[in-house]
Amino acid sequence: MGRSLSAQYTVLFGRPWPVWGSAILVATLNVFLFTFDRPWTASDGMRNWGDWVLTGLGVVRRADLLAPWLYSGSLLNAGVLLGGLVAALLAREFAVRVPPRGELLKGGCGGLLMGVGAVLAFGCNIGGFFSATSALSLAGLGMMLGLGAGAFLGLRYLVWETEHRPEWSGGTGRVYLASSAAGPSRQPWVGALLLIVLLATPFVYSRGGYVAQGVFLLFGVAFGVIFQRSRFCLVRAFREPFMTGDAEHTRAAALALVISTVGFAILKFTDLKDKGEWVFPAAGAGALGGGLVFGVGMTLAGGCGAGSIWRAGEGQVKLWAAIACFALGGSLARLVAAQTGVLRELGAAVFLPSAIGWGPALGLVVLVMAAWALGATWNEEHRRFSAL
Amino acid sequence: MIDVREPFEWLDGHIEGALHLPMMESLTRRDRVPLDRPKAVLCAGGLRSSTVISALKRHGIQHWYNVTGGMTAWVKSGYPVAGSTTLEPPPPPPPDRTTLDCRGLDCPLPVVKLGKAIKTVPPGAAIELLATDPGSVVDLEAFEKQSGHRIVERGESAGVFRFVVQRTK
Repeated sequence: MGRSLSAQYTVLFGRPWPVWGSAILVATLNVFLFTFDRPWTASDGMRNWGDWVLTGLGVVRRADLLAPWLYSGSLLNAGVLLGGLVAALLAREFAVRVPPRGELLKGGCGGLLMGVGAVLAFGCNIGGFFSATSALSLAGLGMMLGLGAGAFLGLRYLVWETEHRPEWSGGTGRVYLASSAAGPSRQPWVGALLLIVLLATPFVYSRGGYVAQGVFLLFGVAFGVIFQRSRFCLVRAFREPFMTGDAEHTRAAALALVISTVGFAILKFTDLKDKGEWVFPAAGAGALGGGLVFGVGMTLAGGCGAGSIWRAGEGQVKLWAAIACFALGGSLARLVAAQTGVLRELGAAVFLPSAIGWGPALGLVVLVMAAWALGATWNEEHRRFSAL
Repeated sequence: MIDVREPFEWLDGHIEGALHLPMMESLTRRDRVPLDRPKAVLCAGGLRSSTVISALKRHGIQHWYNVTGGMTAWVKSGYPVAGSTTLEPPPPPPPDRTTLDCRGLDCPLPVVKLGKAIKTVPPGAAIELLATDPGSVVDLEAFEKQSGHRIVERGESAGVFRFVVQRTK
């Protein structure tokens, strides 16, 4: 019994999970989450945090603002953060990693760009691309183009900086609270304890009549654990073909998109979910421009909407800066966009099956994903687009 | 006769007159293998020797025999075993090593910097990379797979990941 347990522990927390398997898990969970209530996104939870801070400071006044511990998006994010932390602790990978000052600045700038981009595209790469494409919204595919271009530009900038301004990322980082390589560590015990506490939160929430809130938190935890253990990463899916050429994460992301799209389509086709859900008026300049800005931001920060959060959970201080700027920047950008009326000018809300029919809509998403995966795989061999 | 076992096994006893060429060096130092004569290759049991033979065959070197049963069978059959009298010359000193300190940098910077740095050292030389981002492990593996340069050493201590990457071409 003890030996089987220890073998299981090694499988789960001793070595990384397969990327494609985790992509399937993420896609399936997203369908479950949509069935339960709403698809996954990170940006609205971030904005909720930003709104909450700005309201507390008296900068804005929002009567309709939900507290972060009651808002679904905020709870999903908190779950992803804590899930990343739990998984890192259980795997003894947690450490507070403080970057040099220049990197901190880059994290902040990246976060700010992500905040602005997510407002323009009505969602981050998760809500505006992954979930929106799954919901058969044209804006999702538009943001995909923007994200690809943004990741390319962001990477070109990083290569330029390394060549011409190496001192900007110079200086030594510091590491605190790391577990030593050999010998016992307290980290797995702390992680296990934290996991038990998290599993108990739905019961605590249910006492106040908020059962769903506890469930949102656990969905987030599951996402966080899966991402941390597999390091499946959408930034990498977009960026890596332009960098080393490796296409594993691109193929995994394309697979996840197809699975999630089929799930969402079933829910909408059978009227279990409203057809207009998660179809935002961003098909046009919003999705393209927002995707571009977001793509640059996520490459600079080294983490996307979801990646920033779970990587912050495993102790990376650069992503703490990214999250803070994402939340505040997104909140302010949304305020400005709403007051200037820009929010209504960003594009059309196009539900693909209404425009071209169910079959062609599904076929289009599958075709785009297949082309993405195939193109990246071809480039893996020929490295026509790779900078390194 | 070529003995492809590790140095500590060689010191335990070997066949008189055999050439000692540990498996991991058999490709890089294959210039020591005579081309004109038939060669018998030996390890402890016969597995490593067959691996070395197929690897060197792919480099066009012919005339091979695998010693089935290896050194174990040789000793069992009562053939003479030489002691540690003929020591190998000490291995060449490790090539010049540049250290690339990427502690505190997040993905993808360590790999971007490594990609630049590896072009500045001659083929065969290695770069030591220090990083604190756990993501750098996957990044480095993708870099190794795609660039063809080799991670020859890796380790972790107190939250710092250490890689030694050798330029291959």
